[in-house]
Amino acid sequence: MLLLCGCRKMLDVGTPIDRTTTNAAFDTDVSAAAVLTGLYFTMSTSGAFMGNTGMSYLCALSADEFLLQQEDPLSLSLYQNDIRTTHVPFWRVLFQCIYVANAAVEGLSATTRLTPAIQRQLLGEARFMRAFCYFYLVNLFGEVPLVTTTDYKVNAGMRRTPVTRIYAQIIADLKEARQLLAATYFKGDILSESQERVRPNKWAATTLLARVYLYQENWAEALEAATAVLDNRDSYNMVSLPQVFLKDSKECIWQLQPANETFTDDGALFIDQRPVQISASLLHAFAYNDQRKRYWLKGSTSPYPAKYLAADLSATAKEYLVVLRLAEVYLIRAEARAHTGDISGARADLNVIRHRAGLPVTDAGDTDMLTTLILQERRIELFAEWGHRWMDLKRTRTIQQVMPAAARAKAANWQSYDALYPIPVSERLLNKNLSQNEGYPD
Amino acid sequence: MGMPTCATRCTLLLVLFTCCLLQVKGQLEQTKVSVSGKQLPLQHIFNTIQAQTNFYFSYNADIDVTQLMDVHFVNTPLSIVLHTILRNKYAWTLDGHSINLRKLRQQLPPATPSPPADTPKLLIGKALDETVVIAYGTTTLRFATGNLTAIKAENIAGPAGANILLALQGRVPGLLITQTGGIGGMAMKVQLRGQNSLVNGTQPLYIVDGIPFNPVLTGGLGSFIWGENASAFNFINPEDVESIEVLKDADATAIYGSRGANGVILINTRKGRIGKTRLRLNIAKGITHTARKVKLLNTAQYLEMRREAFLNDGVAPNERNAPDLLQWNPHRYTDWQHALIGGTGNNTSAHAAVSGGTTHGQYLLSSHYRKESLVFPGAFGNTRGGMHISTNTWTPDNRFNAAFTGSFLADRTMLPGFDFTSRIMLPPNTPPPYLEDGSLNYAWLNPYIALVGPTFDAHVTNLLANVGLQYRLLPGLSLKTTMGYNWLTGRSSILTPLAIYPPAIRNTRTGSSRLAHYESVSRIIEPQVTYTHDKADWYIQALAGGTLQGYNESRETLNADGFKDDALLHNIYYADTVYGKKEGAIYRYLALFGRLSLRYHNRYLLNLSVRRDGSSRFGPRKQFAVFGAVGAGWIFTEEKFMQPLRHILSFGKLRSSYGTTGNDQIGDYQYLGQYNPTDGTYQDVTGLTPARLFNADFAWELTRKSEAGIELGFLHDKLLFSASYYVYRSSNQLVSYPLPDITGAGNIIGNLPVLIRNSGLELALTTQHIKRRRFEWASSFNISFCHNKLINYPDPTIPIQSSFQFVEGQALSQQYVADAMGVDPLTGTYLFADAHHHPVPADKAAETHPVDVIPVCYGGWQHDFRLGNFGLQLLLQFTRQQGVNTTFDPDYMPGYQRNQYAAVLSRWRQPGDVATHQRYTQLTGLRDSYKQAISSDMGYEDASYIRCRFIEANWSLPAAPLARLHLHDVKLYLQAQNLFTLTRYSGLDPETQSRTTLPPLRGLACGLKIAL
Repeated sequence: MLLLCGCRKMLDVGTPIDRTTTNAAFDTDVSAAAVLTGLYFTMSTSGAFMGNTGMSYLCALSADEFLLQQEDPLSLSLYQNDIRTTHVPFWRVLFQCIYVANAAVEGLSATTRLTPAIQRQLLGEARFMRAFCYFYLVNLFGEVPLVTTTDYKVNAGMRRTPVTRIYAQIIADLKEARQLLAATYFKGDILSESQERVRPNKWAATTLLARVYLYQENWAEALEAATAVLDNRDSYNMVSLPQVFLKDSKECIWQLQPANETFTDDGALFIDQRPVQISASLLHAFAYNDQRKRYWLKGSTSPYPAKYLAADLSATAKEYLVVLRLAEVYLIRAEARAHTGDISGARADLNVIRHRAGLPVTDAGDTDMLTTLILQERRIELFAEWGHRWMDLKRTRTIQQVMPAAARAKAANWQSYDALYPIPVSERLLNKNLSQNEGYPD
Repeated sequence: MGMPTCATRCTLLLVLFTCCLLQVKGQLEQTKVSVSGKQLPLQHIFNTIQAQTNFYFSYNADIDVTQLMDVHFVNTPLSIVLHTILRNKYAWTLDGHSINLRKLRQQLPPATPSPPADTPKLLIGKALDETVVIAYGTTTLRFATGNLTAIKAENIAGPAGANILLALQGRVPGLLITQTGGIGGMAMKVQLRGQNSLVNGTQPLYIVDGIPFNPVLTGGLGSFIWGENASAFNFINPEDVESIEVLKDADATAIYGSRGANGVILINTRKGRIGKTRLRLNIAKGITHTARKVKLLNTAQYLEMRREAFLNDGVAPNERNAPDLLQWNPHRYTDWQHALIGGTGNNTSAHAAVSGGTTHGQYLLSSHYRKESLVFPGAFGNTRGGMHISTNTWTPDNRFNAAFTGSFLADRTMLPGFDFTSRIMLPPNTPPPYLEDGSLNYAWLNPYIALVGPTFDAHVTNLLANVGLQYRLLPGLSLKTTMGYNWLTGRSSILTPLAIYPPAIRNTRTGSSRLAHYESVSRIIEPQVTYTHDKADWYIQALAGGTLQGYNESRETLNADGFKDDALLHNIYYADTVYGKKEGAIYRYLALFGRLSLRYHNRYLLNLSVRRDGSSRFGPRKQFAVFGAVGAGWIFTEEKFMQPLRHILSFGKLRSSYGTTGNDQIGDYQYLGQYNPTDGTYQDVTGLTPARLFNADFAWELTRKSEAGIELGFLHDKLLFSASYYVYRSSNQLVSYPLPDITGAGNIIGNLPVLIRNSGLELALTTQHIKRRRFEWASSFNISFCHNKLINYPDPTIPIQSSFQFVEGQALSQQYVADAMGVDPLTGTYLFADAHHHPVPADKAAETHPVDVIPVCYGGWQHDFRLGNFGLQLLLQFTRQQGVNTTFDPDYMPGYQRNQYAAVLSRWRQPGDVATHQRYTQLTGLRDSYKQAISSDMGYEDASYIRCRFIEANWSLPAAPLARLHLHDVKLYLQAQNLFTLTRYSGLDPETQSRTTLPPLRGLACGLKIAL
């Protein structure tokens, strides 16, 4: 036995010279930062967050935002609210990102070799990213397995976790991230500050937290978090409509740097490939003199989304993909204020958005009217962005009233279970403990 | 006057001999010597006598000085000592102070039939009692319980050429060696008894002088021709090899534990021997050339094909799509096979060795040189030289022995950037490669541009060193340590000069170079204790030992771009950009092992072996494992009831073994969780992304081997027959199997309880047909049948990444292809069978036709003749198999701007034609049916062959002129490798089955061997 202990040491060959092992990845500031940087790189190249397989496009197809004009099978299946269990978007990439976040949380919690400030920042980023991915998973699929470790043996057989527990984890992660993250933006070395807003910071975590509380209808907390973000007037400001989606825009709280550093996949998709135009119902939702129609739509007879204008490397202004921006925070606070009785405050926040869009200020005077106006405003302001409409319909429990008509308009067959996407069949083959969402073939 | 306490027990099997002691001179009576001890090798006794007297011993290599005996002489006359220790086996004469020994001719049931000294000796004549090397020791084929095949030096150098593995082709039952091409250094596929692993390595374990030797020069120093798996055996000189032993079954390989599943090949280099100092020279000169050609279209047929293709497609040829029709001379004809691979390669080799020794020590010094050129145009080739040293020293009391063996080889290889064979299908009417002023013609994709670049130039050196120390503690008990070191390193450059571009555009281009460095270091220490007990009816040998092994490999590449001047290409200082990469791995292995061999009455044999080992390739929870085997044998001809048959059945043994071995050819670091760099940057930083999950249970693949064999000797062992039947069951297969996405990783490499069964029958027959004074004829035949089957595949929903579709109940190599049903007479496209065997187009074809390209059976037939001083050796190798039909060029359909095999002439031309090949086309429309044809029974053909692997005719100078010239031996020989191949295969070569790589070449050589 003694011999064997010695033997174990002799068999230790260390780590390969040409690769980084999981253990070594969190041994130095540089490699630990590179893990999180790799995660953002994955986000900006994997396709689940942008382009024709991204959330902004596919979730809008599921909802009532677009009129589809090209017919690739995946787009069509979402558009017709008829997702095949063999071709389910988002699932794999979101869990891949969660794995990296979990590995980072584990590695960063265990290591003692990093500069403390960097360790805190990276741990905050990791917890933020885990919450970010779970937020979309729980909203798109309902109950999902809540994976918080990297042990594949445990994880491979996990059951689905109730939505409340997932939200509890999201809130815990975001609160922690809000504490850990700095208020500034860093470069890839996590040492020097950056003009670019391409890594999540304290306010990104707070913004997402505000959104989560809003979805939970925890108005007080949502109000607190949104106010905390909005109080940073030095860092964040509303900018004019054509400048919202530019790189380093003051309105942005978090952007993703495209792999080409010039134009986004969303720009290439909506402007260049142009598979969709705005649905009639969305077009009608725009007020006659809404400036957003002028700046964020293109095409006079069949308008299509044009929030991002750069579609190739020849673009004059560089655009980064906006993940979180200030307009949403105003709308969150407006809704929270409306529900907590701060009618004038809610009106003021809403008017910030309306004002920029060139719309007259509203003088709505009660909660119901205000919330209706706020949801209308969210629909217009956040269209074709990150599935906001699709998720708003679900959180406000209006989806079953809105979608039948919307489905008719896009020649789809709406079933009430379509509000949740199915669990991929390949997952259920490999993990027998995973149940299918109601309504989908087992 | 002392008496021998014990007779020569180790020679119990040598049945009666006549005593033939010669007259002894009086001085031998007067000289007294003292020597005593148990189990002393004959050599030690000689040592002692030489130390005490002024006599010395001279003898030939056929004297077995390792023979052990118990002696006890005190002040005994030398004549009596000699009489006692040499009786029955050797005769001796006195020549001054030299005691000249020679082996006695055996008169009765022989063990080792050996011709009289100084007459040419036949190479075959399987000697049941010759010493063969096994794991950590030696044995004889008579008493072996395991399955082993030994190849001796005489059979190695000739057929091997430059690569020692070629010496094993056709000689070892169960061993399948396939060359991937005819250029030295190209990969060798070696498989011993079938594919025991689903997707991992199936190379045997190679041990050169006790040092584990990596058979692959990973990465091939960047040479496209050598490829990723270049053969490292290219850097061992076959002439320095004394013997090769191939160990197969559990009994022989379980002692190698987790490395032994795919069999073990032991390579032992030459050692010095006691005797007069001898100088041996061997000089040879030879040529090589491509032995087979394929019949291609000539210019008229080619142009007809092209025109017809355009006509069929309804496309008008223009200068872009048909320069061959519109611009090139329609009357030119170049036989590209002749031009590019039809040359003659020259080779020259020289080998010199000095060896000899007294009983205190023996030595061998040899050096060699070999130079060969390729059959390609240009000055490509290989030059190598090296030396080999072996010493062996005993202390005067014969208790301590130190042995050293070292080999060094330096090799320089120059190769073109690609194999010219891949260009033999150029259109036959291409413009000339050189312009009238002798300069290269850059106007077309001229293969001769490869003569200026990119060119590959590599220097490889290989150092092997081995030290063995042995101390005899007590009679029968020895302590031993062997230490080995192998250093294989190479540097290469691939230079791409500006000269590859037409002069007009050179100012817009730059040159580049790619430098590679490879280094591998293998080291091993193996302390051992052996105890031998040889009393009365029992012979017991016990062995215990340990292994400490390490292997480091590193590969570096450096790319330099932007050279403005070809003269500066060698110095990366002048490059604009330089970037590099370093890869590498470390492997550690340690083990404890033991073996107990029991022999009772020389007829009941039992062998137990066990090994506990640990390897750095396994996950932390599975680092150590125990492997073991039991082997048993029964020499039934030693039984009393068999005695009446002894004159017919002189030897008979039944043996059987069962045991477990592991396969650790599963890559280094595979159990570690890993991050890879992202293939792009974010915030100008290259990120890291998880590439593999950590698997603590990552472990070896397990092979359970069982085997039964019978070995028979008839007519005084003139005819030796052996048959072995084996069943290997390999499980715990390492595969990359998928995980649910929620784990965050697509898959994990882990052990899956897949079960693979390999079984086979191996037969070998060695016969001495005729043995007269003037004429001898012996032959040896072996044939192997093997069968592979995937017994159990746990979950068919788990797809394994592999080029093969694994089907339970079928061979691993089994593939399913479509059934071709000729060419549609209406449309001229291929038709295939659907599920109901109706002819349908490619897209509806059913892939149900089974094809298996693994040989059904293979073997070899060797003959040895001697008539007086003339000798003839012949080795035929045969394989029965299905192979790839290379008529189909996977990249260019008939009709494209590329030549084709003449077989495509029987094509469809107009509706109603019944043809074997579909219509010519130069568009992509027929691609699907063409691809399907490749993946149909048409894409395969019979690739069985019989090849004359080696033939040598030699003539030895008779004894009388030899004596006059004061020479020991002079031999003149003519050799041929791959002299002829009998096959129905339509392609270049049935062994390589490739249309783009140079087939194994025919080599002819003549040489002279002189021994002084």
